Amino acid sequence: MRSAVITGVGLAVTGVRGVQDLLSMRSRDSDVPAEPVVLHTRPTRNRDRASGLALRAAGSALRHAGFLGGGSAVRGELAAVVVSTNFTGLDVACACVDEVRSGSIGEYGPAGPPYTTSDVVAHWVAAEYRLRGPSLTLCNGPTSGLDAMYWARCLVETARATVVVVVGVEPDTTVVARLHGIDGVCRWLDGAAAVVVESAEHADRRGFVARAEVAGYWRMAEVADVLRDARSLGPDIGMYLADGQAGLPGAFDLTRRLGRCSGALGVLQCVVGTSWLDQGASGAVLAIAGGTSAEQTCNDAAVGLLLRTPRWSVTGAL
Amino acid sequence: MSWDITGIGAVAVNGWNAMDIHAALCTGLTGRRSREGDRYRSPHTYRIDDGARMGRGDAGRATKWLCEVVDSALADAGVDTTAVDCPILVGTTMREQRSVELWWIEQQPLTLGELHFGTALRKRFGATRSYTFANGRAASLYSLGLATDLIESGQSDMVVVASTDAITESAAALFDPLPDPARATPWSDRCDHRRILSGEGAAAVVLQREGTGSRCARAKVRGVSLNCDASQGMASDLRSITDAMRQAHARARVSSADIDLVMLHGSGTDLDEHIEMSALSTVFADHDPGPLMTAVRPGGGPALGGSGLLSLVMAVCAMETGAVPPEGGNSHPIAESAGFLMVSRKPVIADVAVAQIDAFGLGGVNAVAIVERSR
Repeated sequence: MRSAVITGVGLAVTGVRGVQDLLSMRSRDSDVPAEPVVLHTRPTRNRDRASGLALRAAGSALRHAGFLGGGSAVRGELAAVVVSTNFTGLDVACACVDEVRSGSIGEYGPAGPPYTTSDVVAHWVAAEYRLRGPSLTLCNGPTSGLDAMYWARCLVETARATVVVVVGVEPDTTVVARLHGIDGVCRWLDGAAAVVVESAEHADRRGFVARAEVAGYWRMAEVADVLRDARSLGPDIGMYLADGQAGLPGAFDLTRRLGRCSGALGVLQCVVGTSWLDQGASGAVLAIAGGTSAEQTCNDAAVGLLLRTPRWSVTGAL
Repeated sequence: MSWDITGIGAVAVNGWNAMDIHAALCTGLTGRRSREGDRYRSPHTYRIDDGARMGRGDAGRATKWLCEVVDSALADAGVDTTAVDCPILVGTTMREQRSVELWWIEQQPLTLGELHFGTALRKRFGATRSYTFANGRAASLYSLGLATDLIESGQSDMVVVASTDAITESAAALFDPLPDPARATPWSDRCDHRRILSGEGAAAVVLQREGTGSRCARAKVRGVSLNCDASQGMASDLRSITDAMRQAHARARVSSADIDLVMLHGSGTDLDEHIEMSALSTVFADHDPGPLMTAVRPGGGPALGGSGLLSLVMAVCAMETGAVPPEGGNSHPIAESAGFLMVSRKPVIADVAVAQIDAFGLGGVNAVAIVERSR
């Protein structure tokens, strides 16, 4: 079976200038400044904030993977997109209902109606970068980002795609702010993270050195189950990424500085873990989401994803 | 390789289980109902009559139907429903968005757990491996394709594939059917390309590795293709849809001559209907008159993200009963459908061995499945 590696990462997160900012949060106890990401995308009909953030992060990840700006071309039929989001589209739907109830909804223009569904982000990312392979949108609660990484690996392993752009995104809008408020949460992400997952053979053929390998995935009832099975795989885990309630002393908790990250969390964790491995760190990375630490009433499972230094070199030897 | 369908379940506007829906379609019973209130252009809707009035008791309907169809499909397959340890893949367009609308506009109670189908699936079935794919109108066939991948790659011997959608107020307002019923009939040359039939429903199938189920397969999935137009517009792309059909045949190792029945997507928009028919004209160019063609969306009530899976379930019923349901009255067929054996107005008795199921989402997310009768 083909193995899946990570060849590029990208970010568009309010208050974060780049991956190094996230890595530095591991040691420094500083708050994230609140400057919002200013989007300078060309005007396109109905493009919502989540889509704008996702396009910027996906573009960065593709460039990092050597696909844009004069690099290798993405073969569209074998290039897929997997988006993870829990809140995209809800604000547009609620705005429409406001218009219905106030009697102000009218005929839409020749460009068509606005998108009220969560798959809008995948649509724009696929269109912008001409990704003509499978297009998936995961709306799977707090574990959705790591689940998206799993499905990207599946698409590669089953040869439905050779390159997969994975995006985790959550916008900060009025409706989303009120939804977070249901749980009494007062801080949440406004941003997107993106990862390019590729078959190891494809990366090797174009002479690109992979930055990390997606080496394991577990979806189980509790965090303890995930830890048991991940540790039994054998690798020395040098970095744990989990939120504070996972009960892992020393784990790097991105939500402590960024607030609730919801569907973007798992992809953000993979951006951090990949960058850490890419800087020559020894040991594997285990990212954990969900379980008892999840968004209070959304606790259907705990998920773990293991990243490690890739086994494949540019010569293709194991 | 093929995959056994060992259990089916469905809820639609015209029936509470798969065989009842099939029978209703064959007798021409549609799910069209009068709409309450005057907020919309059309007086009609395809709304499931489960006692809930629009706006009152609406919250949580998609989740409720999802659990019902999963339970029905598991029971049909002879699988214990109390501790489901296989993956459950859910395809949807609107998720539990209707509950969010009611929370926003009417201050009805809501928890974030209620937005996530996984919460209910864990509670009802003990499932810890559920995934929700919000993939537009191709969502359920996308889930089917991914389920075949999970079994083929050895990650599971059984996967439940499900779909559910309750109509939202925002979608009803934006994609309102036209008042004139004739103009809302697919393959009619009077369709407005910016009007899209919307409705609600749920469906589920239990998919198992060949020969591993405790009960005989009701049918077999031979292959599912998945792709994306990657175009800026909302209309379908002829090249992508043609590719999706050909890829499905290749994955299933069948030729177009082997296809006895096509369950059309039938979006109800003239542009997309022309494109689907043009793609079929290309793929089936060497066969005159080609396969029978029908759809469940117009008569049975379109089911948004579940349309593909409901079409598949109806194809299984057609294979078992020998009756292919009609798509409903179509007095103005578009030119591209002229050479095809459209099943309209009344059912056709036919020996269907292999069926093609189409599902094409807005914005260009495409899936095509090939299903074979169980021997």
